Amino acid sequence: MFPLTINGIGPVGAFGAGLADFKDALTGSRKITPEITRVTTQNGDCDLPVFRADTKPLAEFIKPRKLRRLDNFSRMALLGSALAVADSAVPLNGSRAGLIVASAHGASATTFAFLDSVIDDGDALASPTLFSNSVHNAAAAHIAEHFQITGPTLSLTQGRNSLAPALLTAALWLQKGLVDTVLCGVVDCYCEVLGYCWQSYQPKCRMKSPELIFGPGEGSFFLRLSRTEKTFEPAKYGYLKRLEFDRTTLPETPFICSGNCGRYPLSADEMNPGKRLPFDTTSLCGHLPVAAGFDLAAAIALLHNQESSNGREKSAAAVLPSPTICCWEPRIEYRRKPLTGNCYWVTNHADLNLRKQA
Amino acid sequence: MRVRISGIGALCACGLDLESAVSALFQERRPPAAARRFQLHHPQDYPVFELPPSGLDKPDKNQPWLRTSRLAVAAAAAALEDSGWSKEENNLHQLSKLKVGVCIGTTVGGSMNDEKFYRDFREAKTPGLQPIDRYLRSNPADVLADVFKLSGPRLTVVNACSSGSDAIAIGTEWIRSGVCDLVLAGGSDELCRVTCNGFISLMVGDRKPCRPFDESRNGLNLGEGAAVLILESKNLYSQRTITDETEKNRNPSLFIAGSGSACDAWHLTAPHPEGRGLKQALKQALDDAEISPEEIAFINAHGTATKNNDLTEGKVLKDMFPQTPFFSTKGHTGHTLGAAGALEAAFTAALLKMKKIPPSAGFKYADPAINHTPTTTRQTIDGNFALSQSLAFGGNNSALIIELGGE
Repeated sequence: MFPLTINGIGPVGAFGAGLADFKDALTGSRKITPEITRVTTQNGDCDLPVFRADTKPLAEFIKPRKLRRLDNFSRMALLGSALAVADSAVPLNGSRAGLIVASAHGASATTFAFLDSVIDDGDALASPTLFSNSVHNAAAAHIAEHFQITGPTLSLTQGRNSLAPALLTAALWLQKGLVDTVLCGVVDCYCEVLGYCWQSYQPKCRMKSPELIFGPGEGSFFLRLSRTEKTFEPAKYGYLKRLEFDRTTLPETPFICSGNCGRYPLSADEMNPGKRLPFDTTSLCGHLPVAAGFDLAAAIALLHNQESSNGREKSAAAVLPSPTICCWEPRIEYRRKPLTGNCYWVTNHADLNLRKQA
Repeated sequence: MRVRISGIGALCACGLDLESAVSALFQERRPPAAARRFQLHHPQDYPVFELPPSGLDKPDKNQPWLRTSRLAVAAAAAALEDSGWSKEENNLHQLSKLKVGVCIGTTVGGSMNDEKFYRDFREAKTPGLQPIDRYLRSNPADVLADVFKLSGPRLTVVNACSSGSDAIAIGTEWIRSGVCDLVLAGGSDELCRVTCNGFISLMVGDRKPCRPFDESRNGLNLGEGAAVLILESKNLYSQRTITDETEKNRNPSLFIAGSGSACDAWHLTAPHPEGRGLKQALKQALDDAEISPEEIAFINAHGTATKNNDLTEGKVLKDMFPQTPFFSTKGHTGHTLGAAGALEAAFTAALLKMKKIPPSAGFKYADPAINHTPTTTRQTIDGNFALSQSLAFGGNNSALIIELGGE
């Protein structure tokens, strides 16, 4: 089933759109300015930094008339997938392609906008347009229509552990030969309710601590994947080497684990500096449940180009004893459980004996 | 490779267990009624198919989740019981040591849309987070994995109305590929005021009992329910101890023989007029099962009773399966959205075993535009394969082929 070839990637977030923007942000050469939003909770008022994504680059891919129909959630998903396809520099044959869109909360902003229409105008005048765009698989439908993807499509929701089952499904489709390529990605959007919830769960206003400027975010990250033995050429971004569910020990290779914002302090083992790479993509895209996607993006970017200008990333590159990085996606629920999580390993070396597999 | 269905659990408006629900398919249908747990405010009533009152109606400290997950747990417990896994505590302990995945379809179970919370939020009342906590703890796949202490992949499918059948197809691949020894696969959905208003806003709801494939059809009635299939690897099944009673229930055996999934890539809310995606999904399922269309004994159609769905689906069935009897069970259950594909797969398996199929509830007059008629009386069937298919919002199409007695 594995390895899978990573042919193209499309990250979208507060850092910008595309690998170049993401790398610039990762190395500290691109300044990220969160939007400050006033939130009132039971704990009082707070100016919350919100890491909003800018989807203006979507205009390069979509006609304005079609663009108007899309909500922010679908725009981020469509932009991420369009960037991944463009990045691969190979046109997508929709009849031999599959699509997977994973999200923790779906188009929550549109769901609440639909509720606004119910509350403001009454049940009988609820908005059909808002309802249809609030359905979980609306984004996948827009992407499929845009690329004419007629293979299998899957929308899934598994909270902060949404990426691993998405990658597994992509691998199974490719192994079965249903498709030659899979667009696989994660997306989550920000809305006022999520900001309220995010801040309400905080013990105190984080902005009071100048060193801890983080807040909720939004974004998408898509990969274009194919079967390694079908490619016969070095992958543009390496290989997704392995996937493991419910692992109860820490990865044996250097690993990335972010997206926690310090809300759930990691144990000493999890913080092990010898293995855990010393950076957190939360500072690039804010806190969002599908942050694991940006960890994978960071792993790919690090392996693709280990030159870094930022001190933190230099140290990250320095502790890379092997060409393989693991993304450790812990299952952190509402009470502390024994260490459990999903892992996926990405490598930039073709030490995979491709010829033998072919 | 066929994948064994070693147990089935289901509940819906026409029965709180699989046996009574399937039996009801052959009876006069219980008409839908106004929702009991919430009120809709429209000039006319839109009836729904709601579960009869039961202990599932309210969350308690043992089951603090959204109703969708409580329904899923009830269906999964029944399925495990049916498979023989839950007879003894020791069996469940053994299960926790295996690679057991959970793949469940839903629509409502994955939506953060608590109306009371949101009304309070809009009024700047700084509402408490209990509804959000409940939503965050209610992911159906997570709930089932935690309740039954399972270790393996968890996946909640949100492919709208094909979620349940897509979940079973994915679970089948987990067994085939060796990722899992056993999978709890199915779908679950509760009736929800927000969703009801959504479907009514799309003008696809009927104020009368729905009439799938009928010329006078005018839309769907929403419903609720859950169904879970226990999919089990050949190795695991052959190794474990089977009680006489379980063996008796199982004979003859049921299998998932094939599946197919394809997208219309056409329109957000309307199916492709020629059923492009459905045809592709059906072809894929037949190829996967390595059988011809003529070997399908009957078809449990999606049959929502909306103008567009039934027209497209009916045309495709006439084109690809001109002689094969078909029916819709939504006249008894309503459209259970994320549960529908799983519930109908459960019915299909049970009917295949019974060797008889029911009349298509709500059908009376043929639609000349479809020119293909569903069953109007109960029929005995001969054959070992049956098809259950789902069409969904967003252009998703999914097909499952179930086999009786093969390996």
